[in-house]
Amino acid sequence: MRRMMAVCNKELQAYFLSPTSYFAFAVYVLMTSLLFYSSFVYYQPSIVDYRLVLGDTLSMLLFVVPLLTMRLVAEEFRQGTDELLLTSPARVTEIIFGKYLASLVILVVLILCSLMYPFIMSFYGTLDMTTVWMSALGLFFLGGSMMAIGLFASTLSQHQMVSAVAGFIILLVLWMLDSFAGNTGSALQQWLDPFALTNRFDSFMKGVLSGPDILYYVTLSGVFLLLSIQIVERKRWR
Amino acid sequence: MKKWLSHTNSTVLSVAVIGIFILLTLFLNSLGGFQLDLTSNKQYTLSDQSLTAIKNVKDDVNILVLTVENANNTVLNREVTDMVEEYTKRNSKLKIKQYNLTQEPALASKYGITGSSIVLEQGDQHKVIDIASLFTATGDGSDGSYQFTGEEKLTQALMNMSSTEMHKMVFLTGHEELSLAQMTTLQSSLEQNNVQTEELQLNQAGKVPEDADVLAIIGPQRDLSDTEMKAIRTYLSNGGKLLLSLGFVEDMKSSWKNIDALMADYGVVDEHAVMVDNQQASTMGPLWVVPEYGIHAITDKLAASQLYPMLSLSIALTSKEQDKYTLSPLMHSSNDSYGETNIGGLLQNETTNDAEEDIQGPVELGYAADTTDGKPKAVILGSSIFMQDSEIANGGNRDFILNTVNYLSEKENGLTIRPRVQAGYEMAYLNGEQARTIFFVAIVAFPLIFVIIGVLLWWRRRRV
Repeated sequence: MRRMMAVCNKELQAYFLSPTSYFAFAVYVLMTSLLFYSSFVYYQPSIVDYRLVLGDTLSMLLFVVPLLTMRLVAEEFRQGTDELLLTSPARVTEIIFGKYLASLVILVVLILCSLMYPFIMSFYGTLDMTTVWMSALGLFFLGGSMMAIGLFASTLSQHQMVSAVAGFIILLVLWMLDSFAGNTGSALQQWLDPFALTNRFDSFMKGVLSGPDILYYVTLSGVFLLLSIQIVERKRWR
Repeated sequence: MKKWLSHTNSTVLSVAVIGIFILLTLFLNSLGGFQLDLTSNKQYTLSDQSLTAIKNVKDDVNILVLTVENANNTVLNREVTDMVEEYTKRNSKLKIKQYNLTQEPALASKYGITGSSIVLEQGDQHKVIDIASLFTATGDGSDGSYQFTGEEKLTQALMNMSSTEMHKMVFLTGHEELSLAQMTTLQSSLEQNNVQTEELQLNQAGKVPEDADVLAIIGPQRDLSDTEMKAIRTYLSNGGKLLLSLGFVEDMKSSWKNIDALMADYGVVDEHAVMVDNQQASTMGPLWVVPEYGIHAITDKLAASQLYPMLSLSIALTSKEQDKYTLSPLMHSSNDSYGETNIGGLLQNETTNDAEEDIQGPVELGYAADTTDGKPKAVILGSSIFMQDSEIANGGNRDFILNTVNYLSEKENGLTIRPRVQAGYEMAYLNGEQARTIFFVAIVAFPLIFVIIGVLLWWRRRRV
């Protein structure tokens, strides 16, 4: 646990002392703000409903998560510091979980940023706060599983951009899974639907805490963290 | 060898974990209702009746949500889709398909719809629910709040879809009763409930059809003839059931010989008095009443859901001892009301409670007569206007009469689910200055804060 926290602290320092992270935040905030502006202000009169805004801004996570996670392990491989890490007393599990924990802290920062939009909306009408807080919780679960996928992608290569692209592709496939078979209600679509990332987010936006949805995000994160551990372990044996 | 073993272990573990994840997700997905609804009015918690109806669906049902999308109905369309999704979560036989109606003229023409609708489709048969009919403004509508009766309508349609149980109800005409043309909403609600309706001119037909489950006499203005009375009694003695709902007529005391006799067969006495309630004069006028319910299968669920009808020009009823039927009072007005027997004075707006002449409140306004072995036989009501198109949407009018018909026709799956009241979605009209403020805060200042921090860090590092 202590070693895991040490890895987490190191990663957080790397995040918060790196100008690149802030530029990534700025891009994320700019893009989500533009989408917020277009859905809340551009068309008048606007409906004071956070769900309508969040639905539009959610897709920004697809771009920002791979950018924020790409360096987590890839950078260690590139600089050769992975050898130091792997020969340290810390186990691979602790290293991966430490890095993941750091990415969750960054995710919380992103969620806090996105709460600015309901805050602005609250000046112009009464918001249903249950759906706002539940949406924030949903963002944490959705973002958490996306961060785990990004972390996994980061273990695949020593090149950050390759990791980012790999992460983006995996996330995009999971994101679009429900629309591959179209709106046909076919057996294929029924099989794919439960695995689509965004379908699971709908319950949170409605104000419903759904057991299967939470477990989906948690197990999805678990699967990719375990795969990340396996890949790093393989490098150790190489 | 050690390396090979390690790699094999790792691969097996990874595949196993992915497999467990897939199976677990599919399994958990089948537990659609495993959720905690935190919305203030439990918007996504389905009633027991709906859950049972969903569970009972054995053959595939496609639920098509065809909506016309525009800024005004985004939230309402979403509410419908959310509701349908709650159904489809709980049974894989139910499948939701969403379409933009304007882009699907072929579907619109196939189902004969022109506005946003839900279509339930199973094999060759389909049922259409008009989405506009699911929303009713509450109060005077000024705060935008509305009632949403989607669950009741969808569940009922689902139950009727799988049910082969058909009933027939005939509406007597020829005595200036309310005609089906004046009760189209009730008629379509009954047909959605698998109750077929038709009008009956008894003088022409000669007898009440034997396959009719219920004979309805709604708001007659003239008395029945002796021949008609005989035919009706024959029908009722052969197992038919009666829904008799009185309508106000000035000379009812002298002219309703046969109607009164028909009621008397079941122990109900028409007092020829009109219910007056001065306590409620400030809201709806003294001739209106939102009655209290008695204890009976027709009213129990409605009372629990606080769904009360709004009656006007109601005739006071009382009962007398008889041993063929069990009489249960269905509803009555307040203690402060009374049944005005001086109809002439009432029509001149001159009405006072005369303790000697008038019926003292609470005034009974409806009775159910059941056979001694507990089977429904007749429902006699003191008011009819609440069934006509202009009134049926008020309060629990529709629910009350549908429950009554379902009870009389011994339909097991008749249901009333409390509509959900939703606070109206709030609209914000932003002016130019407000738009500019939001633009500056969200699009300029907010990202700029991160850029400035990034530049400062970069500048510091550069100097170090």
